[in-house]
Amino acid sequence: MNGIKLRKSHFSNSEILSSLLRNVSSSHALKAFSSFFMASVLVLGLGFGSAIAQDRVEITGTVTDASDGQPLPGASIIVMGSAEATGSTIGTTSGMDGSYTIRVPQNLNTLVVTFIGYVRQEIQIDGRTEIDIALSPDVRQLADVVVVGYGVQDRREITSSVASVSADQFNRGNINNAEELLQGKVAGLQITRPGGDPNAGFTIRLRGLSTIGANTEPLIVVDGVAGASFQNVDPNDIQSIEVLKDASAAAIYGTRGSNGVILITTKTGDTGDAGVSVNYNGQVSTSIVANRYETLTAEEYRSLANQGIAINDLGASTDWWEEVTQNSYTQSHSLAISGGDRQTNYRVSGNYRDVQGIQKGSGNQRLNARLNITHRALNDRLTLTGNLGINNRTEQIGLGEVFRYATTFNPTAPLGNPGSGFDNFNPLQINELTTWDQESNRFSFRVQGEYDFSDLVDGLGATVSYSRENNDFFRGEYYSRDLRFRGAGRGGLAIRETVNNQNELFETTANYRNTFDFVRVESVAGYSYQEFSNQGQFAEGGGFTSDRLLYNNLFLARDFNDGEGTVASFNNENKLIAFFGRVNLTFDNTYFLSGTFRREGSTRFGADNKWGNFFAVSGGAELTNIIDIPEANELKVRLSYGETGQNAPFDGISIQRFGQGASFLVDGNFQPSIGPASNPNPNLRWEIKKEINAGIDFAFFDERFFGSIDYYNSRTQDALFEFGVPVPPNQFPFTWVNIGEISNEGIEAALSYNAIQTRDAVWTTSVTFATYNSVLESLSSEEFDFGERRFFANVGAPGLNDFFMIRVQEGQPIGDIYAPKFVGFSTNGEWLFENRNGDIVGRDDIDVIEDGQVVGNGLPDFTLGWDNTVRYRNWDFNMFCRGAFGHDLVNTYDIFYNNPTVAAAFNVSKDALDLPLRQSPFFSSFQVENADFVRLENVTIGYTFNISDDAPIRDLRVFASGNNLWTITNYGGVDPEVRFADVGPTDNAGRAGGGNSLAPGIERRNQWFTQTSFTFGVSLGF
Amino acid sequence: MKKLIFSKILPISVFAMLFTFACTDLTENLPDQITVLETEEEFISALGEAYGILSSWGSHNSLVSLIEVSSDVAAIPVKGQDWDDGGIWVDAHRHNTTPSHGPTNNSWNFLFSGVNATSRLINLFEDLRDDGAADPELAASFIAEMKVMRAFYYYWLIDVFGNVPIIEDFREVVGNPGNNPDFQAGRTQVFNFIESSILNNVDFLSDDPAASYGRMHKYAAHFLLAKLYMNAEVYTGQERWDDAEEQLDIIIDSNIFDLELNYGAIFATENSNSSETIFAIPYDRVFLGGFNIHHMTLHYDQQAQFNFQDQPWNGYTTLAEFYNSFDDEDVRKDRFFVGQQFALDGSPLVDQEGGGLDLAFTVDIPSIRMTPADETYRIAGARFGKFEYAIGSTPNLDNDFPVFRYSDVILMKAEAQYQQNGGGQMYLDMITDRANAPTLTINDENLLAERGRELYMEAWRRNDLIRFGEFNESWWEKDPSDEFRNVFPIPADQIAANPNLSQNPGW
Repeated sequence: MNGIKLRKSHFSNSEILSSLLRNVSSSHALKAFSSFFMASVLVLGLGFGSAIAQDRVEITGTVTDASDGQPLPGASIIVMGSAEATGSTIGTTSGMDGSYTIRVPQNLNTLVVTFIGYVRQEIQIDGRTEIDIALSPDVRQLADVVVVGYGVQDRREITSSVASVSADQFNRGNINNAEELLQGKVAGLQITRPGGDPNAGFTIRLRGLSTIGANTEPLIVVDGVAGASFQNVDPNDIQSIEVLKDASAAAIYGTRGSNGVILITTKTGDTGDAGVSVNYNGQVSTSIVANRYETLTAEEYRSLANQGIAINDLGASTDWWEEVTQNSYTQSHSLAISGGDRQTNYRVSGNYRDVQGIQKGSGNQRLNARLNITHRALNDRLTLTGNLGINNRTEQIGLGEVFRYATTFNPTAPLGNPGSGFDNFNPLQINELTTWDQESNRFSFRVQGEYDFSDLVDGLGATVSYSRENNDFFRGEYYSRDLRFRGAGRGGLAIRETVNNQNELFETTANYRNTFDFVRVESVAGYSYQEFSNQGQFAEGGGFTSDRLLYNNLFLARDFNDGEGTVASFNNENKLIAFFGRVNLTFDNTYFLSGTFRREGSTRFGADNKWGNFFAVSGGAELTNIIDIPEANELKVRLSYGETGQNAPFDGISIQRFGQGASFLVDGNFQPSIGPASNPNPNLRWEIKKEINAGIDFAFFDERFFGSIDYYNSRTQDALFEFGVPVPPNQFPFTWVNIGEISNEGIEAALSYNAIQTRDAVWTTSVTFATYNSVLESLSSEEFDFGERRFFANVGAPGLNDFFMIRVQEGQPIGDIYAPKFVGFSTNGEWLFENRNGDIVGRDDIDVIEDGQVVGNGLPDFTLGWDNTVRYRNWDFNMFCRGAFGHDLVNTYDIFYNNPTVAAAFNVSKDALDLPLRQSPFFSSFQVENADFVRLENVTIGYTFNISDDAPIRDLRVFASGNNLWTITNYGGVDPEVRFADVGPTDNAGRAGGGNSLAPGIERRNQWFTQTSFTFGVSLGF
Repeated sequence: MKKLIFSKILPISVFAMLFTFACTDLTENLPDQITVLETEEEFISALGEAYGILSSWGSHNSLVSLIEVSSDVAAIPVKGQDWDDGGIWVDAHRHNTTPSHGPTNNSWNFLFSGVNATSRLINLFEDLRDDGAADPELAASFIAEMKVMRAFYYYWLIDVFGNVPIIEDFREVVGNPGNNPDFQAGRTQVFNFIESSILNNVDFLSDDPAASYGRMHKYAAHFLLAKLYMNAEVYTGQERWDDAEEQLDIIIDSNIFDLELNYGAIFATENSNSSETIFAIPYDRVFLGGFNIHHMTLHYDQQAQFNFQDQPWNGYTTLAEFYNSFDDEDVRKDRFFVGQQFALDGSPLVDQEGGGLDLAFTVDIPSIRMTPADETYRIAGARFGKFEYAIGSTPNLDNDFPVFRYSDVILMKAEAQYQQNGGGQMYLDMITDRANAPTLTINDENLLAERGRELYMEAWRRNDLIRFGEFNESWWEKDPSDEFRNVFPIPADQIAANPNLSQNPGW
């Protein structure tokens, strides 16, 4: 398909080509599709022109900048329809003074004028021979071509909900992960990582929560490879990110599209004779602790004794927080070399990042290399693309418990006090005597061959691609023999784990694109085969004579001789096979219709249910072509309906599996038993999400005010859920079944306004807004009854086990926080609650279930993002704020430590100094807080130097930036950020579990403190 | 135009399909999973599931926890911030639980896991026998063993839950139980099922308790049947004292079992094959973990007393009244932790978080909900030391747990005779003599009290109190309770999940 029209054309001026190509590649990047874009531009005039070339008329004029009247050299002027009419494109570029001359066939009447960074204009000639053209700067940088699944599409023709974020719109400053680039930028996409842990993962949620048992994260597609990892791509290498938000857009990815799809396109080299360019980006950041849970200083702690409160004065004065945190330094360097000629273009880049965390000793180092290369051969009919990514990441994990115990450990304990008692450990010792290293080596490559079959059938092309991603992961942990937290009882404790993940993808597609009268057809059909395999080993053992060798020599762990060491291994694989297709029809450039289908099979489902069918239809109309709307440049209405699926979460889920159980005696010798580890469910099938989306895309006032508004309503059916089943007759108390129904509804708006738009000054302000409403409609079926309600999220030890914070009930919103309603304290400092009859009762008389009520909800009602970009001459300035509203958080620190009665064992909150409470901790609405927040996420100011043409460098920009500068919130815990899933209590050195997405809204005590960063950076081009 | 679209798009789609390898094989391949049992060694390993389930017997939050805490020998008092846990243990002690009480549901799941495992294995071995895949004699002995083991789990179900479904054939009840009014059996029906399960299979069981240590054998089956008959009046309204005595005599007359001379030997770290043990859970710190009474009861700082790998939890205590019921000369009284405790190096321990108070347990407990206002709130209550705690223990003790033991046979023999003809004094004396305790005249009160002193924390206390009609009386921090509480409620989660279950009367 690539270059179909190009090949037929004879360019009279090669500059046109390069300028066009530059235009294309700089606005939007997939090389493989750039010429298609050009072709579609050229095709626009088809049907209007006649086939025979006519005499030509010479037209002259000057191209200027509309904002200041300065001439624009190098603008491209082509005659619309000339390629079809004459067999070659007629075009030219403006000279140094902006002037141009062009000879136009008499039967053609339209000039198309383009220049990078300016709004494209089409001008009717109408018999004139002198036409001056004023181009408006295109500060909105709206992408013209948007990457969608298995192809690109003209933004103006898209009928589903797709958000596109290009590199210049990304978040700035101390950004070290691809996820951070997008935070707050896309309406309806929530990306969170509470606290400042540089090694923590991000939680990504698109349009609320549409699945509960399976994976809740969107599908990540990197350069066409579905199921790839964000971690494989350095933020500096990303050209653009597209988010396929509705089911219609995601349906082409069928099975894994339920939570949306995020498409990452990496940067490529320029096509044409652009020569070689070299870019260096470097930055250094420093970070400080921004917020923490405030507990008492040693002096304040001692003062509690004056109030008659039992304390445990150990004589010293220690600021544990100071002992375990640091001002951290982060640096990153990135070098990219790109270039190309008519046949080949390439970009190779290397990135190094050294990130320190605010916890002493924590951080990570990353080395990332990427090569993207495209080569055209056989008269441009064959296009070969290769992508190679290599990523090494080493991590030094800092335990959240260090912060937990820095918050709660006795401030009068001397530095060397190991702590005593339950859930009471010296944070400095945990920090110093724990070693937790991780390393991952990722390697990915993709090759694609693309052939243009136009000789055979006009408009036909086909591609074959193969890609493979390999990740070797290592984890090593060591807990010293002297560390009470973990390790001391075991004589030191070492853990080693290695995991290998592989992901192979083979895909072929056939593309067909043609125009018939006023109808344009674009279609793609394909086959996809993807295989994932995972294997790994794990060993854990203690009993070391010395701490010196850490986790490096398990042979020295006596546990293995004593039979007390643990070893394990796993090996599993799964496949996804799919047939898919999409047809887009455009009528008269005004009406758009699109249909998508994907039939996909997964090995994970029962024998008769492996295959699922997913489809979507959508349509739209460009109203400005139908009726005259004042000041409107674009007003498209669109409507879509689609069905997407969700794969089962792990291998072997539908079959009876046996696991090893406790040993038993056979003739006096212990022998491991084998027993069922699951109930089989041969009926297990795809989870399906049905979604309707209505939206408008608009641009007004010379495209100065533009944006889109969407309404969506989705319903997830047959949700995959691990259901508690009656033990007789089932063998195992849980079965994975298709049972739930979840609905989501919301409105999303993304609006931008170019408030100032001159050659010297530009100010663009953008707002994203999204509402959410996730309801668990049902978690029952004919076969299984969920019951009236269930409770999740145990408060935890000390003393509050079997006390749950989240109620799940059918027909109710997801994330309801449930607790007795706190009304005050009695005169002797005891808790007072309101019971179900409205009576005020004490703690012993309250039934936490029957007297409890919904006292909050952990999921936000709406989120906001507000971005401002200002450019004045050489200065640029960006400010970005983000907020979430309507969610509550359980402040678990408050539950346990906002209470003077625990002061003998733990440090307590600052508020506890004045709290009349004299009864032991209890969970109630008292600790459920509104967590609305607005955060000044980033301010960046940059300066671009004027570089003379004969200077050894091409461009130079320096910038300074601050991240997480200010948070406005009433929340009293560490971070008011939304918590989408609960990891459970991690008490007394326990480990966090997997996240429970039915229990959002809980800030646990192993929360990392938040950080504020300041960055200075330079970018240099040669 | 339509024609054009179809004439072109169609062949192109076909072309696209031809272009591919179009593999569509979706057979699941799981190199690390066993999904079918094939070899004889795997069959035997499968048998282990019927016993492995017992590993939680000696853990916190187990059936045994619930039984003992709801009796007059144990409690888990709230100690300031610690051990409130939503009030579930206070409720358990005061007989104030509700059907949504977590440990009750745990107990149900625990027992039915056993029922399920045994039923499933019975089906498995029947199938293997019928298919000729297993030796018929081997299969027959496995099936008999599993049927009696299933009766073991049903014994506890009849005792604590009363009216429960009888699952005999696993193959017949797959998935949804449907609307089956006969699903839940009455207590008498369950009684008959247990009785016939044992009677029909006892002859196929091993008669060598030593060789089948840790597994169900002939004498354990007779013990189980004796227990059933001893409590027959509670379960069915009909006394079966003579039948009970007959079963006990089989055990006594076998001359295989004998009382240990030293009471402590039964509970020692190395107590495998004690002459007194009839059926034990052969706990092992490596191979069969799950027994952690030391963590459940000892104070945090007693970690240093035994050099435990992990810190204990300062939870379970005994009641002062019970502790004081032991005679001072009674060797069993020494098996509690009372007074000042010492580290391994002999230095006195202090309660570090409790403001540095001496770690000296008081027998008296100020209340079941203690706050820092109670000076002894973290050190009140005698702690259990019935089992030996080995120096350097991990969270998993090595001591085997004697579920059925010979001194219970002797005490049941005394009780059965006493109930029939007022006899049994000789048997009661055997127990008090061994304990160096004063001789007691046989009567209801002394029998119940002596059973408590001998068998406390071995899961029989609730059963005994009910049989002697004392379970609803008041004791420390417990008011008189209603009689319907003599069975647990069917857990709310189970009723919610299974429309065929109805709640026990009164709940």
